[in-house]
Amino acid sequence: MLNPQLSSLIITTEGLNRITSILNKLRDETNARYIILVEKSGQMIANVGEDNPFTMPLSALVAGAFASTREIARLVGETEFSVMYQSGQNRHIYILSLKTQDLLTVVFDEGPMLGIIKLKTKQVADSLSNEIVSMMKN
Amino acid sequence: MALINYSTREIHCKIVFYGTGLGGKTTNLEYVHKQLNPSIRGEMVSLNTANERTLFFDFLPLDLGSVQGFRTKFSLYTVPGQVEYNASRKLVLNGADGIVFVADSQIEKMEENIESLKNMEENLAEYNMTLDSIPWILQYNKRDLPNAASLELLEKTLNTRGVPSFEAVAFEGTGVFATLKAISKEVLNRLT
Repeated sequence: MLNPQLSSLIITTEGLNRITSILNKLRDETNARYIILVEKSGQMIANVGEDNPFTMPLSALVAGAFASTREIARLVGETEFSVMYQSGQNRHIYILSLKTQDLLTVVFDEGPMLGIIKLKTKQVADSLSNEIVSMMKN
Repeated sequence: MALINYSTREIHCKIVFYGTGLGGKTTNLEYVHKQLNPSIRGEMVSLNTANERTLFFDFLPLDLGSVQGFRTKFSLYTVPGQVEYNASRKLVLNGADGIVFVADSQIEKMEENIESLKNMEENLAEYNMTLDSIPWILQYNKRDLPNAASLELLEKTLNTRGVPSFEAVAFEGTGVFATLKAISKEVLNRLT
């Protein structure tokens, strides 16, 4: 029998549905290509939007990159950098660190949407954090 | 941090390959990547320097079948082995569900192996983990080299806890899958 008490994150169908609903609404409002919710050690919790065969390595890389910025923040005397933004010619990525240190990752095409993405991700951050906290077991 | 998804009936676990620089951690993942069908493994990601020394980590996702109706997915990571990259090693260890310590069997590397094991223990402590609390196994790599230490000496020096240990020649694949099978079993046993 699987013992969920020994693991750290239990994703129920109801919990995943609530998270997916939040992410889908965020995607509609920001016109994002896809959105991934990444657990802080690099595993993917949920994703919405277009199919992407690289979701797993992308999650690992996002967590790794953000972990680096956390250390950089510490070394320069800052508590943390809560946001990371990378802008390309055609594709952009915006990453917001939640209270739980999990990462809301938005991949989008339209650069001018950045302001809306900043606003909308901030608005859903608490809801997502609360969902993750409710899924955590020690 | 193991992730159990009841919605998709999947278990996701993180396994970290730890050890000294040039000990064979990346080689283990490269061999697994080369041998496995793309249907059960993803792309390997390597963040390394120009001369292919691991700078941050290597990453390889695997699908290793089912347990009690749950598909088991493993993310394999390596850490950079060079001494100066300890900050990166610490970051990669975050959320590890199991560790393979890859020891370089060469007798001249014994002290480095000991230091690396001690370093692993110190980094685990930062996450409130100990070598008694996390599943881990030992791989004695490079068994083919003429200056390889005896198995008895390696066991006596590095395996004071009596964890499962495996001999390997990673670049040709000997012991690689036995190691992988063992650590995935240890990790899943903790969850069941």
